[in-house]
Amino acid sequence: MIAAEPDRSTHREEFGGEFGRWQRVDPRTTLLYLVPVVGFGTTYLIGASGTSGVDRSSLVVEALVPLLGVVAVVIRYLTGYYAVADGGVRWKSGFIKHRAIDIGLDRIQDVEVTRPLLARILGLAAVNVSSAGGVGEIRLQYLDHRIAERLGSHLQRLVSDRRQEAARQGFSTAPVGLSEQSGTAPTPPTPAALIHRVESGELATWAFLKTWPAVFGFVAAVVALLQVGPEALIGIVPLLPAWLFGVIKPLLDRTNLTVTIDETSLYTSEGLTTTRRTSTQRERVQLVVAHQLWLQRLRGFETVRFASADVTGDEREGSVREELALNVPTDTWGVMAATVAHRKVVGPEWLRRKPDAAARATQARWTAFGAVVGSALGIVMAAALAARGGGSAMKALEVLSGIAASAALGAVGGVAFGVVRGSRRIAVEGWAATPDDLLVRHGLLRRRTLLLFAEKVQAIDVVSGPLQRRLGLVTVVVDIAPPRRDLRAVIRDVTVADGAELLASLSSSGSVPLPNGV
Amino acid sequence: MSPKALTVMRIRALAVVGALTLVVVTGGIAALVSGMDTPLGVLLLVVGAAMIVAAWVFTTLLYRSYRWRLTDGTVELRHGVVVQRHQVLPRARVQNVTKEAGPLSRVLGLATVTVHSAGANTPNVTIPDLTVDEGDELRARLLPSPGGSTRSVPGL
Repeated sequence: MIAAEPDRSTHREEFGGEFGRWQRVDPRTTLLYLVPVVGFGTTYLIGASGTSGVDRSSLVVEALVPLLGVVAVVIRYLTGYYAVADGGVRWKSGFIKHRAIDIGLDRIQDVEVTRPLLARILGLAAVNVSSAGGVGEIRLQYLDHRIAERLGSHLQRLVSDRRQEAARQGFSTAPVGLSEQSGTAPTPPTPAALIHRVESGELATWAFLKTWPAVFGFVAAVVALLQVGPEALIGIVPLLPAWLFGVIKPLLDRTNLTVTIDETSLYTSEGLTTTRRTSTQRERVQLVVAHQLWLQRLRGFETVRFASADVTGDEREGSVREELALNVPTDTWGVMAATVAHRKVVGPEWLRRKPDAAARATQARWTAFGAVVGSALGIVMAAALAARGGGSAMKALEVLSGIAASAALGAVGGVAFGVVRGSRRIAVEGWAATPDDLLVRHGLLRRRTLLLFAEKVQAIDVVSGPLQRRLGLVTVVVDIAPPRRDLRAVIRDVTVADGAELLASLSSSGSVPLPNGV
Repeated sequence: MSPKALTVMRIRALAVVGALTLVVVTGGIAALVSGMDTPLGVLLLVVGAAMIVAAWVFTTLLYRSYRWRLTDGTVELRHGVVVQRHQVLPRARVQNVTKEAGPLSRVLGLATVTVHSAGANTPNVTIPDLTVDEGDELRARLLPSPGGSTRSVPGL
């Protein structure tokens, strides 16, 4: 039980009398949920009562719908409790079906404080505590913003203390500076140093590079509709949600993005309408990744992100949500990664070139792809010609030669494309492995450079298809804790010897004992 | 892997292709009996037989491709006929081990052991159709115990 856990008077004093006790979220939270329920219900009832021929008694029944919504909101408030203690954070809720989540301090990956617009107006904030490996997430929605801020920093400090204790016991994955303090008392927190602040110019450039197809599409739609007439503007309305959520919201969410770091944690703060503050333990950071969109690469810029083992990463972004920088000069990721890891990291100059056989594999794949597409087109054309010819049946030989010719044409196209792409691949893509890091660069149009901290390796998968076996190649897939396929390091088409070397070095790196296995 | 595993794998494979094979063979017999289209009937019967033979051969090759081992630092699995995979999971990263057995496996005294690491998309190492004793031994060796041995399991 929470109450039975050992307490620390300093934490108790800091967090006040609420420490170690079950509590409800802020009562104003009900207002936050009631506004849409009551608003929708009232609008519906007014609309229904204005309609002629409506039975008054049926209105009473319909009024029960928003009323049930109100009851649900109140029950949700009354049955949800949270507790914070030295052991971790707990949440229990439910009226009919009870649910309880317990995230121990050892499992906390990130602590996030968010303040959507309506919550800010009411003086509220949400605290999200996330863990790794599918254990789950506790969302404390909503607390008084002062309590939320205090709770966020308090949890961060509890986690930090626990990690330093683990480091002193020999389970060290902490940055070098922390490891050196083994056996000594924790040092007082140092002020956070600025890693990067996104200025308006960087934000605008990043937004344009990321969303220019949507921007041009929207403008083109407006122009096209205006040609029809002003009344056609109504046609733009369906486009507005996509515009708002695809273009405007990401822009507002990243406004004022500031990334700072201190001895134990990495902090991000961002957002105009919804403000969001996250704090991630430095030793929880699993990788740093630099993305380059096509236009970004041409201009020599990149977007830098990091990922912890947070299971609740924002999937909608299609990539890592936590940005370190939106649009900075190419290879800035190395400096940022070194700052986060508190040591030198492997740089792009270490990248090893892929073997020539990788180019041949690419050519063979594209040739086969071209032949398959050509055959499919040939079959479609033969079917179309047969249909146009009415009753006159085409000779089988003609059909087969037509399909073969189309396949050959496709294969020739595939060869040509494969030659270009294969040579570009071995010129651009590469990998480098040291005892501490794994660096992988791939992608031609959208280039990605991924730096994975070797001690975070979860599993290694070596795959070889028939073509690869013939060419003496394998693909090495390295998994880390974030449950996202796009965060795996995939090193395609390396020699069997290089694959075996990677396997040996990474499987030994992954054997570092951690207190929680992450 | 246990020779009984081959039996289980063959039964599963036949169950998968069985429905399709049944349709093809029934069509072939119907064509032959009705005398409508003898070549088509023969062709369908040949296709049906080929599907069963292919499933039988593929299962045998797949069974032979499975190799797993437990070393001091890792648990490893190799398998695959067309695409071959070699999965390596550092033992320090093992989060939990699950053992499953369906009705058919239980009858034959087999169980499938899955070794999980953190992260939902990581390729968990799944070793199918071990004998129950092998499964228990593997689970005991993988899960940390203060005085537990870390020697490799011989002959597996």
